Amino acid sequence: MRRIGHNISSAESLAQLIRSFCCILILTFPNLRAGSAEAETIETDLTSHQIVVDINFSGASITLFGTTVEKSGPDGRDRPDVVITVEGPAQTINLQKKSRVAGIWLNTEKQTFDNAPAYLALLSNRPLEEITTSENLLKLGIGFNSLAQELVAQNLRSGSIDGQAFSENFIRLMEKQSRFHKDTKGVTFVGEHLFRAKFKIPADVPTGNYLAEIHLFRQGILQGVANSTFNVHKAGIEQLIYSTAHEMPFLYGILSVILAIVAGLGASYIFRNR
Amino acid sequence: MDIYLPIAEQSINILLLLGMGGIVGFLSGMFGVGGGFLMTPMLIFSGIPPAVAVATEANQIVASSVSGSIAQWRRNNVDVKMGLVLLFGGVFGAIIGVRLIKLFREIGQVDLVISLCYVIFLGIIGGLMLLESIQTIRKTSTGQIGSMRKSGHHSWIHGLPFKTRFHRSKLYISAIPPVIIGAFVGLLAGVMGVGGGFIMVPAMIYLLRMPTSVVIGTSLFQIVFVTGLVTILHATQNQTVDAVLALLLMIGGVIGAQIGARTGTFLRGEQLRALLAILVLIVCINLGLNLVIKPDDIYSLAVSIGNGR
Repeated sequence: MRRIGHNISSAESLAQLIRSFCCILILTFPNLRAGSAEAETIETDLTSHQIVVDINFSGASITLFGTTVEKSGPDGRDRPDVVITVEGPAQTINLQKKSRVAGIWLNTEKQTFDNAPAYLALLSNRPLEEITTSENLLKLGIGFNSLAQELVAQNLRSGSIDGQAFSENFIRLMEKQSRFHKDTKGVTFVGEHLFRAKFKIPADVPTGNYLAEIHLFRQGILQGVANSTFNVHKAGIEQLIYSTAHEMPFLYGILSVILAIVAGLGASYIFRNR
Repeated sequence: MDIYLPIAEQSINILLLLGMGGIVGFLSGMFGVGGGFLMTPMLIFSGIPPAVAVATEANQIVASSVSGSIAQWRRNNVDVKMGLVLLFGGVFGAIIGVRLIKLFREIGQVDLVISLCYVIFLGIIGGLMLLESIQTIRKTSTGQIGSMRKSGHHSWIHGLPFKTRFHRSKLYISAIPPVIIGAFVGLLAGVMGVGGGFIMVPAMIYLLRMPTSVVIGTSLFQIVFVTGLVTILHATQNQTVDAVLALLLMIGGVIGAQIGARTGTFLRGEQLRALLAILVLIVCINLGLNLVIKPDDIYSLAVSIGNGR
């Protein structure tokens, strides 16, 4: 269920996602010791589906709203638990390790993570270990532990000897840069059915499609899953500069030089009476 | 007040950038130095990726050297022929320098190479400047007047072929030394994002024996074209020129340089030079310690800029 390496095209509609999810649910449910045949559903939405990175972008904050829709009626069951994962587009990230060579610390080892999510938020209403078992979380692909496993597996495939250490440090550094984020009080229930969760998108986050998956648990058993997507994209002068620099680099170089010459000429004009 | 830099892909305080441009501009206006060798390390300290710092700083130097060389041109202080010969070498140096950065980026050692170059050059320049200003301060305090050592004209430079007449400099020398000097300075511009005036000016005075009146103007003339070329090469090969960052540094730099030039005329030269030397050495030591002291974190993430983003 983990979405590493999976790119959702922006054209893909929410309906299609839900449909594909239903398939996944049907496939997954027999393994989950699901309590009841009729699953509870969740309805959610985000406060924003488009994050625009422009010249004044310094990160964004998105709130996810949701409500549980109980099909079997409120027959005095335990309070629900909600676990939300928000995953950014896959990215190629290198993790470098320094060691001392002739008195100088330099990068000597490198591990490339080809399919690591560029952003990962993990929000829940209480600590994950109180919500369900760790085996369940791993099976569902929820949490940093399951990401670490995935990364270790990836590293073993690419032949790195110290996959475990590299994966752990990778996650640690991503957390340090606010790219990965864990909040066990990130989901707040407003009343019995309505809940909300807030998460931050840092300023240096990559553009692309983001997927929020909302998991509803009762007594440690997954009851239902919903999801919601949003898109981060550059716009305005930001987009113009970035795309010119990458698609027409020669023109961009010439324009940069012209800008500098104009600035230099302007300066000597303004301060000419010296 | 933050601004998002489109190429560095990070959000940074506008006032910090304007302030850095202003301070370095102030120093360069006061001492007549280009300032690239201070600005690039400061950008690196503030978290800009070294490769972006180098390429963007080259772009900023185009602006400051354009206004500088216009002032020199008006006073007829540019030896165009010498400038073109230096530029000829500079083109080759710049191409090699930018290629080297691209190569070191690919093997993941670009930060190390840039830092090492800075430690070496700032150490040499800062050390020499400090030595010189201490000597001057000592001499003036004991009332001695230093006599310029004028050696004879028998230098190895005169034995080289391709002799050319440089009218403006009143020289008849081989074109090889200026081409080599230009190439070396171009290499520094490509790798370090500096104009290279701090190397070129002494080389022109002591090696080529050019009249001091045309040295500054001629070196600025070469720097305009070499840093312009370096900017274009970095933009095409590395996509590391951040126009927004460059513009902010230019604005801060231009204003700072004007204030610096006015302040500099009221202050004692040698004490100030000693201060600049100390500042250069502090930057050098800081960069050097970062290489030698065990880092807080031996792991670091590197997202390849301009790839897959």
